Amino acid sequence: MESVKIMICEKCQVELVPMETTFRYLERSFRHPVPRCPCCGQVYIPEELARGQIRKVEAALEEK
Amino acid sequence: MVELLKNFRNCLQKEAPFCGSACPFDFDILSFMGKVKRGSLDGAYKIYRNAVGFPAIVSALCQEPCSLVCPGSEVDAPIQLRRLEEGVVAGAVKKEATDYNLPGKKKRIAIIGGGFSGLGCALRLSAKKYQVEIFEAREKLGGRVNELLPEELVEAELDQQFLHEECIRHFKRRIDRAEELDGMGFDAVYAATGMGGEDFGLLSPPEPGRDPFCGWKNGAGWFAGGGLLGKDPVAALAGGLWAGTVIDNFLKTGNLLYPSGKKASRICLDPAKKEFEPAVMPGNGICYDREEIMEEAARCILCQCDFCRTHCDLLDYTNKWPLRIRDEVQATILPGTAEVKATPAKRLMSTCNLCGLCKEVCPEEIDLGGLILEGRRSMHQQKKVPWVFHDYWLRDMDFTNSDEAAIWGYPQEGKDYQHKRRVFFPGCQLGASEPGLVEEGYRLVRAIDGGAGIFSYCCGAPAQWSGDVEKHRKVLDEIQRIWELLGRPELIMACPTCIRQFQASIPEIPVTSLYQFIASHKDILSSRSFQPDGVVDLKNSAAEYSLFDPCASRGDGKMQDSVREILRELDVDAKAEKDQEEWSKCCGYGGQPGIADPEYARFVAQKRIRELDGTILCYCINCRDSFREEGREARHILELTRGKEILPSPLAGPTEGRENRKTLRRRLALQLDNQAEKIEETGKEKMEEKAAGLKLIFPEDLKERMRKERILEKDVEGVIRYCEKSGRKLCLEGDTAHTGYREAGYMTYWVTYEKISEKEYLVCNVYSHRMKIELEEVWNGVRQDHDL
Repeated sequence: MESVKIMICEKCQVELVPMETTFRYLERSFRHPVPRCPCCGQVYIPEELARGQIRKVEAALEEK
Repeated sequence: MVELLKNFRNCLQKEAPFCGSACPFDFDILSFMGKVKRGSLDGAYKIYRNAVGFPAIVSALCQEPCSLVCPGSEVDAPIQLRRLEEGVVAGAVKKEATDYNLPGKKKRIAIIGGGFSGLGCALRLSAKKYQVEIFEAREKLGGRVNELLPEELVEAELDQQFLHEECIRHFKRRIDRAEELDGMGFDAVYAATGMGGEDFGLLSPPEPGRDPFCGWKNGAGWFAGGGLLGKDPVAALAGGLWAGTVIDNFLKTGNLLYPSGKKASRICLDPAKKEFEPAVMPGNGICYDREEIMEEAARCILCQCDFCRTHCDLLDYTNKWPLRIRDEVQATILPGTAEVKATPAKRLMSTCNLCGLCKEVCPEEIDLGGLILEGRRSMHQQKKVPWVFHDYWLRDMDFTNSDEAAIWGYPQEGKDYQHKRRVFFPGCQLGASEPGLVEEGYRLVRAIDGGAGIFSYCCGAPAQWSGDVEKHRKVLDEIQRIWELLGRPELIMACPTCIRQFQASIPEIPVTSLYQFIASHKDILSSRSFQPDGVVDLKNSAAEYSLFDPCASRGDGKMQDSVREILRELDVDAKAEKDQEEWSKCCGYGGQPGIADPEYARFVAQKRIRELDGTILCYCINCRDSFREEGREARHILELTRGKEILPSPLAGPTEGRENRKTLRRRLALQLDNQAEKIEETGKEKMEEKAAGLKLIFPEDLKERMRKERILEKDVEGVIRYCEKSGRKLCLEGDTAHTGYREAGYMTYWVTYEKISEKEYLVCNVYSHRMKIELEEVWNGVRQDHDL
């Protein structure tokens, strides 16, 4: 099995961990856990998330 | 908006077909036919029984008034509806009457006459659980029908249909005077005494403003119908069923109303649809079997006004009728948010191509596209349109009209300004997609006496399509100002949409299509017979060419004819469909639905491609690009006037589109007398800017994906600059590539890249999202400076 690589914040040189993050789109905001740097708060949105779940939520909000 | 909505009242979608309006019954023939076509005889029987009450009687006696109005009779024979009904009655298995589970009602109705008119009325009212009493002068029910059909058939049908209904039957009870029913407590009376029977004064002319054949007698409502009104047995039965509905309404509301019901069909039928197979004859000479029923039903063309459904791609894609879309648009634009009301048409409104075909094909000229555009305006005003639907094109328009791309002026030659009568207006997308074609168009326009100026600008269509009235007005005002500055010349336009926009919004500016201009100065094409590479002789080659008239050319016969003349002059033989010329359709680009519903834009483009053979010749660059995007060879007509074949360049993405326009502007400026110095200066600035820029290397497949996702290289550069400057970037453990993001406008872009040197980067991946990441101002007690 391929080993899962760890994402590192280059500024703080620490590993990212899932943490609640606020997102905002079309006047609506909500919170969802995504990988973040515990030191500086830098966020990481993996491509699969952007093209998958995020795209779905965006499409749903565009209908409302 | 109010005016637009008014016209929807005339929509013929729900108008009964010809046969349905000739039929004395309230019979949904379209649904009946639908079931029969599918072979669902039980379902068809149910519809038929609900309409006629006594299927076995009606299918045997009906005189088929429908056959006189069926369009099939104009071609071959009318649809054999009575035979179909007979076949359904014989072939259906589940024929038991429905047992309606309703509470009994206290209201009482007397029916005078037990013929089929009275029986029809009794059936309707007893099914609604009223207390019904029939007064029949003779010893049995059925009246005149007993003389036309075998007694056992009539009795069996009566037993079957009244299986679950109770009604009191008085035999040998002749009622000659209304007073005979006094004191019996009836709330309503139906007089169906048959031809020449007692009318109880109900046939006398009504008082002004009152409906005929009804009146008040001793506190009860009296109604007359059936043979008493001179109807044949089948029409009399239909009248009785209708009287049942009328009396039900009377008992519910107390209003003595007796509308006559049927009206002639206003339906409008596409003549092209009137194609009928020969009528099917029953193999046994008497009655259809199941296969014959289905075969005969298949002949029916299901008459319905459906011009809009046939022609409009949006209605086809959504499988909706205009009335439904009207309701959805109205619901969506009502003030209030999605939390308190439905917003069913939010995406749909931004999906329409706004090509106007719906209004043109509609016999009542209902303007669905106009309603949708008004809807977009209302949504914009309420700030409820998702920005993403139109933002990309509005930014593109702003770029076209910025100092970086817009240009206008006259060439250096002919300083006497005689040539100030004519200016070439190429439109925004021709320069973005194929700048060489703008130069080709300008070359042709300048070739005629006195030359011509150039005015490269966007016509404002994206602003109009976005529903932003104010932004649209601003663009139009600016166009008007520049046009005045240019000495109010005639504009020669390459883009059919620009022409349509100008004619509708700034009619004082005289415009002519480039194609009409070329066709009326054919000399400029002489000795230019188009020979691609000198190898393929288009005229004699097996290659097929189809001409595509864009939606904006619809109704502009001069432009369409001119294009055909040009092709003749160039010796190019292209197939042109009469239908596409008259009802020119959109390629999918119009109204810019590509982001609101990319699937729809593709659906339209693919539909057009299926309708056309070989290489598609276009005279709107957006059509050409839409077809090429779907993998079909397509050429702009200006690619042919060059006289030699130049292979089409790959489809331009957003970055190339901008670069092309910038370069085009510089090239054109060098030819203009008032711009050269200015351009030289900005050119220097640009060179400096370019020197300061980063060199980005993109793998080909990533470049193609960015083109499809409309991502600018400029925005990618912005992300890398930000990440490198701020240090806010991520990497996978042990990997040399960095990942980071930055917002540009409303969008958030993510880039994975590798640094080659300070100025050179290899871009490995790019993706984006519309959602904004809201970073905390304070994190871990430290104030953060994100400066995204």
